[in-house]
Formats: sequence, C-alpha cells, structure tokens
Amino acid sequence: MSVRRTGWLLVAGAALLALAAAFAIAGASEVRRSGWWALGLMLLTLAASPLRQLLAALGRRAAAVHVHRARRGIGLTAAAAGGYHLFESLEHHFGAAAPDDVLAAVLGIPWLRHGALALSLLALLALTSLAPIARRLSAWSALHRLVYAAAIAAGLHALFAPHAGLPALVALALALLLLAARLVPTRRAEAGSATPSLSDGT
Amino acid sequence: MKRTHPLEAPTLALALALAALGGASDPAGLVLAYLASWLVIETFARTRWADAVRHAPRPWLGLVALLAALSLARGLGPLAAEEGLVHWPRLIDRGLGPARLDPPFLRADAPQSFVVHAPGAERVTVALGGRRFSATPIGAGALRLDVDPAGLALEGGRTALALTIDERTEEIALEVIAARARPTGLVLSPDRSRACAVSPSTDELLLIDGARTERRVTADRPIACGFAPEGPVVFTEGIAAAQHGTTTALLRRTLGAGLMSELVVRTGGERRLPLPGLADRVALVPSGAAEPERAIVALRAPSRLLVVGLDPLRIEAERPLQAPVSALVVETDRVVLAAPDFAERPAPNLGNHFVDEQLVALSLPALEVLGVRRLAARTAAQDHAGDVDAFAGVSGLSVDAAGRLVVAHGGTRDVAVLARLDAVAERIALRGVDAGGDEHAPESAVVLADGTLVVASPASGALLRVRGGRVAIEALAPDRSALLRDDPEALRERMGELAFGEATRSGIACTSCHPDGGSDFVAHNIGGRMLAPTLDARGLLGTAPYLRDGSYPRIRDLLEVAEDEYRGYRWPAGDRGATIEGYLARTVRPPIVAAPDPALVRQGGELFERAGCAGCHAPPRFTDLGQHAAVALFPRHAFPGRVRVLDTPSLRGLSESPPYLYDGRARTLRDVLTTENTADQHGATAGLSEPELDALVAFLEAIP
Repeated sequence: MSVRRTGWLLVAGAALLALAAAFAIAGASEVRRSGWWALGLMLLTLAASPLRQLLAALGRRAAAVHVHRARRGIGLTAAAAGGYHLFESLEHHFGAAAPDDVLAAVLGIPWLRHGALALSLLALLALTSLAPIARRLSAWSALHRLVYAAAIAAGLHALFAPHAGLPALVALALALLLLAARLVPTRRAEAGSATPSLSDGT
Repeated sequence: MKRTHPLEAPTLALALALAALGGASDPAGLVLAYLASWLVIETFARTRWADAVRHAPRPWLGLVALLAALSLARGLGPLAAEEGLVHWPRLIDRGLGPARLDPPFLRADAPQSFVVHAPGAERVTVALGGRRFSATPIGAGALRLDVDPAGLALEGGRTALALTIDERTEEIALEVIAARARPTGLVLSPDRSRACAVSPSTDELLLIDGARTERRVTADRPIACGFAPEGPVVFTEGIAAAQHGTTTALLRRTLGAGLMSELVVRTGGERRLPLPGLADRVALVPSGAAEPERAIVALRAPSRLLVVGLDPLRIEAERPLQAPVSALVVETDRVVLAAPDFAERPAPNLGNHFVDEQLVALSLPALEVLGVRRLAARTAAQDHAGDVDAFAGVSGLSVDAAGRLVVAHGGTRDVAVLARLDAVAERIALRGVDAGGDEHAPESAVVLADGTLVVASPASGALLRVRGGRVAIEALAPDRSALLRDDPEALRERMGELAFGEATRSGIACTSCHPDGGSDFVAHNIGGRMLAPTLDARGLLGTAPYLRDGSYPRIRDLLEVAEDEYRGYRWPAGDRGATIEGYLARTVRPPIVAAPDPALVRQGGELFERAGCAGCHAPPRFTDLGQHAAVALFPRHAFPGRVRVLDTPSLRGLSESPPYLYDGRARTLRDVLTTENTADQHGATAGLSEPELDALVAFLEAIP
C-alpha cells in the first residue's frame, strides 16, 4: 500500500473516530462533555507531530507547516477546555464545599488525582507556551514533553471515572499510541532515516 | 532535520535518577522528579556548562536512565496498587462492556443467585448441568437468576454455560466449586451413645459413635439434626422436614422486604411465627416428653433471644442482646449462650472492634441472668497486655453426662470442659494434632457416654475423636495433600476459612464480627474513625476497592488490620491474607426471598437508570469499582474529620444489609433516597413521587 493511501486511510479512520466520539458525548452532562473536549483536544495536540510527518511524507509540506503552527493553539484550547472542565466539576460536584475538603477528596481518590495531575500539567504547559516565557527557556521542548504525561493522566482519569466505558479505554490507548508514534520516528531519525521533519525546538 | 532536542535526553535521565533515588511511589512523584530535573537542566543550560549538558555522552545517559528505570520498576506493584491500577483487567472488562454474569462461579453446595446483565432482553434462560433455568427481569438491564444446584450433574472445574438471551445463545465460562463434606452441629442422642451432625453442603446426615460414622444421604440442605423417640431427625431449610419421626420443629428463613424471618414449626401441621429479624440459631428445650414444649431462638438482627412456646405458637419471653449469639445449649431449666459481647443492659459499644466474649447462663423461661463467665475480657481501647493462647472464639456448646459444659473454641482450636461457669477449665488442645499438617477448627463438640469427645471441624471436613489423650481423625472430605494435588484453589479456600476463624493474639477473629463471613449487624469503630455497621463480607468478589472508604485495593491487604490492630497471630502460617482472600472470593450470600410486584420492580429499574443511580451502581455488580468524594455526594452532611472518600458499595443483597450509608445513618432504603439525599447529589431522586419511590425501593430490594 502506498504512503498516500495509508495516509488517507488514517485520516478517514481519525474522522470516523471523531464522529463516534461526538455521538458518545452528545447526551453526556456538561461536566463530562467538557472533560471529553479537553481530552480530545489534548489527543489532537499529540497527533499534530505524527500528522505533520504524514503530510510531509505525502508531499504536502505547506499543510504540514500549517499543522505545526496550529499545534500550539490547539494545546492552549485544550488547556482552556480543561480549565472549564475543572470549573464545571467544582460547581456541579462540590458546590459550596470547603476547599480543604475538596483537596482531601481529590487527593484521596485515584481518578480525581489523575485528573488533577493532568490539569496541573496543562496549566504549566499553557503558561510556558506564552511567547515571552517560552523565548526565555532553554529547555522548552524538554518541559513540553510533559504533554504526554498529561494526556496519559487524563486518559487514566477518564478510565477510572464512574462508568466511563469504551471511549475512555480508546482515549487512553490513543494517548499511548501517540506516545509510541512519537518515539519510533525519532529513533529512525537518529538512525539516519530521511523522514522529513520540521523542527519542534524552541 | 533536527533530532531530539539535546536537552531532552539529559532531562529524562536525570529525572529517572531523581525518581529512583527519591523512591517515587506515584505518578505525581514521577512528574515532580521530572520537573526538578528540568529545572536543573534549564539552570545549567544558562551557565558555562551549557555545552557539557548539551553534549552529554548518550551511552552514559542511557545507562543511568536504564538503571534508574529498573530500580523504579521494582516499585511498580505498590505504585499500581496506590493508583488503583491493580484492577486494570476489570477496568478493561468494564470498558469493553460489563460482564454478563455475576458472580462468575457456581457453588455446587448451596443455592445461589446470579445477576445477568442483558439490557433490553425479555427472556433469558441458562442451560446448566442438564437443566434449564429462567431468569427474571428486575429492570435496569439486569435479570435475576436463581440456581439451586441440588440434583445437578456438576463436577468441579471450569464448565461452559449456555446463556440464551431472547433467541441468541452465547457460551460463558463458569467455574464450578465442588461440594465437599462439612460436618456441623453435633447433637447427642438422649442415651449419649451416639451423636448426629449434618453436612449441608453434601446433603448428608452423619450418625457418629465412638468408632465410626454412618453417612446417609438425606433431604435437601439439612441445617440441623436431632433425636426423636423414633430415631434421628433432620431439619432442613425449605419444605421437606423429617426423614424419620413425626414430631419436628424446623427453622425456615424466608426473607421478605427488609429483615423479617419466620419460624416454621412442624408438629403435625405447619405453623409459622413471623420474627422481627434474622433467625440465626434455634434449639429445642428438652422436656423428657416426646414433644418439646419450647424452642429457644437466637436472632441475629437485631440481636435478641426469644423463648417460643410451640403450642400454641407464641413468643413467651425475649431479651435484647449486645451481639449475636455464637453458640447455644439448652437444658430443662436454663439456656447457656456464648456471644462476642454481652451486657445486662445493652448499649452501643464505642470500643474499636470491641470483643468481650462471654458465656452466659439464663433462666428459663424468664431469661434472667444466672451467671456470666468472661472468656477473653478486653478493654475498650484494646490495649490489654498479654496474648490469648486459648479459649477464644466460641463456636459450639454442649453438656456432658455429668452436667459439665463442653465448649468448642474455633478461634484457638481447643475444647474447654467446665464443671461450672466459674470453674477452672480443663483444656483439650487440638492444634497440631495431625501429623499430616491439616489444621482443624472445632465448630461443635460433644462427649459420648463412653467418654469419647467428638469434635466436628467443617472447615477441614473432618471429625475428631479424642479419648485418653489420643486423637483419631476421620476425614469426610479430601485432606490437605489431596486438595493440593487435585484442587489447589479449594485448599486456598479451606486455609482461608481456617484463618478467617482464627483468633489473633488479642482474641479477636474475623468471625467475631463476620459470623460465617456475613455481618453481626453491630456497629464498630473501625480504626478509631467512626462507628460503622459491619459489612457482609460474602460475595465481595469483583467489588474492589474494599472498606467503606475504598482504602484497600485487595481483600488480602486487610490482614494488616489483624497484624497492626490486634497484634497478629499466635501461630505461624502461610500467607493468611492470600488464603482469606481466596475464601471470601468464593463465598456467596444466601439468596434473598423477596416477592414484590414484578411490574413495580421493573418500573423501579427504569427509575434507577433515570435517576442516574446506574452510573455508579452499574449492573451486574452494581458498583463502578470506584471511589467518590464524600462532600460531593452528601454536601449537607457533617462528616467526621477523616471521612473524605467513599467507596461505591455493591448493591447486591441490599435488602439484607440495613442500616444504610457509610455510618448506617439511613435506617431504610427510603431514607437513603429521601431524608439522606436532600441535596439530590446521591442520585436525582428529589423529583420522584411517592409511588415512584415505592417502585425504586422495590427494585433495590429485589437486587439479589
């Protein structure tokens, strides 16, 4: 199968998955819907690099550049969606509970702990994505590798949440798959592969 | 093209090294180590060592990362447990669609209720052992399937079960747990020449003399035996009564809504006396005449003792008790009972897992206290120095020819003989009597006319005869070595049952509060946090994490309570935690007999889904295996200081486990839905009408 055909099959698969996800969250509560949005956008951020490489392999270098440029924006939107999810969750589940009660509960429950970890990381990454800060950091890319940790934590958060079901399992699998996809081409690149790549450095 | 950024590899290697050195035990620890590492690298990248960091030799970095990763991998178990990841197979199972059948095993020795999860199905049948069983829809996509294995051709091991949902048939693997003899409830014949016992698991009546045992297959599920003038009598659970004789009394437990039971007495015709609670033990008062005039009934919930006149059938006297009776023997003018706790005027005990085991003599029929013997007295704080080596965990009482009390102590594996309640006890130790290594836990003990002490040990499936200091063991079930060879899981179950009944150094055993694995229906202060009603430990398989706050990911970890709170065990043994888990994982609650209106139940099932209950109490196990924030579910309730997290309990067998909620503050299921859910966060029940609440309660009570 040609690279081109594989590429379009992957894109079609992703579109189907997105459609299924849209159906899956259609009837959910606002808390769950905002959470799925945040997780979906995080996965999309992770998918940006493999997608960019794929487009480059398909000879669509211009599109690849667009994807690369959109990545930061999608990541920031994911962080915003995460913030909205946090707000909705606190509003819906905790209401007027005392902050120390909320903190103790969140730290004591694995699925909430995973969610808190993912949100904390997203906040840190969003903050360090702002141009003035990002420009000052030498090891910016090393810091932003934490987006994989955030996505896996968010996937675990969804999987452990009450009655999450198949979508959460798929989300976690996708996060792990995208991490693997990120590692494999890097190795190839180190081995001298000619896979075109756009810099993701600072 | 550009390779991985030169600062990423040193950051990762340093992060792993820091995490390994710091013993990171959760994902947050790993992330913190990474952040600290990043800060160090970022700082170095701005100094004159920047080049050294950028061009750090990759092989060395790789080696550091590998060694650190290996070191971290050693702690993966605790990390996974802390994060709840030990349940990943079940989580994936949940992700791929809930299990069809719960529990995934069938005990061949007891009736059992399954929950079949088949949303939308109208007709579900199961072909098993040559017979076909029909499931009853109860709503919320769940159906109830009752299986009585009596008469089924079942062998131990895995078997295929054909499940037909409407017109479609699918095969489900089911583990069949073989029935093994469990001699229990020794009763002497009037002339004391022999004794009888029953083995409910194998439907046998055992007639025992000083040398041998005659095994008779008898009516279905014998629960007790006795001797009538005509011969031995078997009491069964259900309709069948005596195999021999005409005059019998039997206890039949039928549960309706909530905790109600019936005493069914057969003296020619059948008469029923409704009882306010679960009947646990029953004994006839010997009168010398052919027909006993009274029966003594011990109720477990609420704990009380009843004197029941048989003709006419009525309650003549009753006495509230502090804790359920663990053993009972009746003479013509008195009853002697054993209980983990007793007080003349019962009051809530605020001690931590309080046990004050006593033998108490009460007059008949007035039930006045005649005498008390403290067996292993404890202070409320459980800080009494000294270990218990003997006389803990009473499981059986009888009286010998000389009028002496014979007390079987399952907890310490010994038998005490007492001339009077306040006399010095003569001890017959049974631990370690078997050179083959089998352990026996006496459940009941009697002394025959020829002086032979006969002891029944259902856990090990053996009868022990002690005479002149010599012990003879008669194994009615496969012994330890046979089980090790043929069925290691059954051996694990057996060792677990033995460990479950074994007294710790403080005198407390698991059975002190969980008789037969169930509940004593008493509230205890677990770990100094709050007074909480005892949970039923049977049928726990697949409902992790455990305890009300979900603080234990595995049942086996609960052994920590025995080790830390009760000074551990006196005698060495294998991995008690693993064996107790093996035992509890194979226990089942007896089927509840609830007969509410099926249409009402199904309407309740729909409301159960509509109110969002099924989101967390998801069928077939009626739990999401998760934990929730206490303040999120019950924002208007003042929780004790350390209660922050609540486990999602399984709703199976709910009608048998009042009171409800973590501290038992809801006395009824309706209270759970109304007065204890005013914030409407524990299910959307605020908008339900009275008839709808009735339907929802009927559904909850129908969950088997």
